[in-house]
Amino acid sequence: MKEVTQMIVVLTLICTVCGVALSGLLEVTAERIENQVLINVQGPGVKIVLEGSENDLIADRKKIKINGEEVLLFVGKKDGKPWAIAYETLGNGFGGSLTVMVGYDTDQKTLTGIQVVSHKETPGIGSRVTEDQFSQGFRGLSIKIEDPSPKGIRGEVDAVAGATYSSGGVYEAIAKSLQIYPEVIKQSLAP
Amino acid sequence: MKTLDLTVSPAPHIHCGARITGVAYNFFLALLPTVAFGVYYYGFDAIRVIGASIASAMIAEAVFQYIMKKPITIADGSAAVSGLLLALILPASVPLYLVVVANFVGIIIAKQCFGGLGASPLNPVLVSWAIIRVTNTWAGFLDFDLTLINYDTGFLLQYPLAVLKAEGSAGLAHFSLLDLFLGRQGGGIGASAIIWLLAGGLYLVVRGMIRWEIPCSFLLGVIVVAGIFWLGNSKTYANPMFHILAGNVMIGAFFLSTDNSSAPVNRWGMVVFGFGCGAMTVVLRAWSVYPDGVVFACLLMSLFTPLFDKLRAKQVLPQPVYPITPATISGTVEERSGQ
Amino acid sequence: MKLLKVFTRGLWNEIPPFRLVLGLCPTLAVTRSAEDGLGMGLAVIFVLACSNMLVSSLRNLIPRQVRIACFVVIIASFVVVVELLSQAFFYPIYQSLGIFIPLIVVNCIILGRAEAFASRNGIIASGLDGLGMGLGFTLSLTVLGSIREILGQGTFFGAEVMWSSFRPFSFMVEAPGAFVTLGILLAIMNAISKSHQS
Repeated sequence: MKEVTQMIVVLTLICTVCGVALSGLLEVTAERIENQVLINVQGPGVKIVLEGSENDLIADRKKIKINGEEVLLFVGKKDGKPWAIAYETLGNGFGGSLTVMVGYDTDQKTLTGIQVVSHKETPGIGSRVTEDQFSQGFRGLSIKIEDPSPKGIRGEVDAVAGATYSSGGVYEAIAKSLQIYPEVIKQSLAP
Repeated sequence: MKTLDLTVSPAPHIHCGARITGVAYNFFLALLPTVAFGVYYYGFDAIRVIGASIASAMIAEAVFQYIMKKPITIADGSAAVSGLLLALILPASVPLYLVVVANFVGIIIAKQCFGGLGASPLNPVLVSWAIIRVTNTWAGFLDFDLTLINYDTGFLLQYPLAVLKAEGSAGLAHFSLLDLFLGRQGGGIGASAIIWLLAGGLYLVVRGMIRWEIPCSFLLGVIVVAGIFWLGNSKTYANPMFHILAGNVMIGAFFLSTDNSSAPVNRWGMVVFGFGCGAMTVVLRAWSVYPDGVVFACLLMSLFTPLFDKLRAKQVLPQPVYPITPATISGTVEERSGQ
Repeated sequence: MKLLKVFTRGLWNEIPPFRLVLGLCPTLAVTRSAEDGLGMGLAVIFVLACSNMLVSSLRNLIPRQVRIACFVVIIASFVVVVELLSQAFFYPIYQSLGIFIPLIVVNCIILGRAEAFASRNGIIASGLDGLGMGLGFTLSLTVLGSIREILGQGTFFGAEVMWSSFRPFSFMVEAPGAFVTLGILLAIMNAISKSHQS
């Protein structure tokens, strides 16, 4: 009986101590990890779509709520004035969800560009949607296109040959992004 | 009780002359016309590749045996034959360092590490070629159409299997079977010399250096499986004769798949092995990303050799049990030793 | 003197991947480059030394029947620590090592050392044993990674080292290259120690 109690007590004790220590560490590092993820995962995409901005894009991010969902908003500034914004939306590709960062020039009312931030598409086939050849096509696209649905955007920019589903995921993400754009602008201007 | 008619006599014996070196000489003799063909069309570059390949294969073997403190056996010519065969399936334009690395990998890893001549489970030539092929950064050197563009051979130097892969059998109209038979096609230094390979192969079969079962069933396998594909869809898949005459099939059937240590030893084993190589070749040509499948087909089938060896293996007769009495002991011993 | 022996044992006589042939999964999988090998090795050193020391200090407390469960909990905790820290401070390395950092939990060396050494020896000796074994592991992974990176990509820790017209032998950074390189290194190790003995 004594042995059994000892077993239970020791194991419970070790597990508890480890659990508490780890959750403490998680708390401490959470902010840094979030920053690192931003810099290494979203950072490169944001830098490309907001090219020409002079501020620290990662530091100047904002969190806003659109339809109850949290959206991370990146603001690009030139000469101290905001000129462009970027935020991510999701689309469904061939292998899972695609995250697409879409940048907007708020003065010209055009897209500054798009970047696929993360994806699970087939290497060499679906993954070609991340290449410049495809994403360059969206640069300068007007926000007020006639049909802001995936189908309408497909009419404006050609899909990647052989990667219909993956391209479709990108179109879907951009369409979602365009839909919430007015709301995002309204909130981003508010202090 | 069946006994074998073997006469065992004390020395001296008369040697019939068969040695490992003799096998290598016969292979060289059989491949000589093919080499001449390659040198005639590709000139100095062919000599360069063949020379480098033979030399590096022999050096690889010598270096390994020196390091391992084993007797150096490069004089038996088996490494030289491997080097020559590798050169014959490479394009004439291939860079020499690639040949050297491939030979070192093939000879040392595929042959010597397993115990040298006669002990390798895979043909070192095939391993050497496969190493180049699966190295993404080097595979471009094996693209015959790109690398042979600067040679003037007096005929259209185009690799028929690459055309087949890209355009289906419709693109093959300008390859007549006669042209293919006469070697008017792009390909390895010696692999397209169909007539000479056939002649060399038949010579080796007649001399008993290679067994007829493997080449015959290899070609049969190609014909049967290619025929099935062709009858199913003649627009995408080429006819069986084209498959026989294009690419590495001829050199594969007679020289690559017949490697002594990686092929089965029983007749039915050899037949199934050869047929499997031929069938797999066509399947790989049809469905894999590579234009030619001979090398991979032979490698794959070599892995099954231990299984093929079990086909129709000689029946082991149950040993007769004799009542052991002083009278029978001497007789039993004599009979058993005669088995 | 005895402690020194405990420490150096992991560097040659019992160098984990080559002599004990333990921990081969990360050895083969994350040695595509010298940097990945070194990063993986450092993570293992940390986990191994810390878990050895903790296991050793608790060795009289832990009942025999549940010792493996206790070891695994301790090891897993340190692995999570490494995972969180590498995410927070070395994110690019975390990205390239990927799933293999969490998989340190099931690395045979660590449980093996906890069971075979730390649960029977003092704290200092256990720590040194962990350090030595970890260093040996790091050394092996770095050497393997260097060879594969130099031949397969023409770089060493990311810097170009081969001549300009060098075409990388990309076979080496693929999975079969790992097996071939490991085999050759094992052969060389055996040859050297054999000639030492005689």
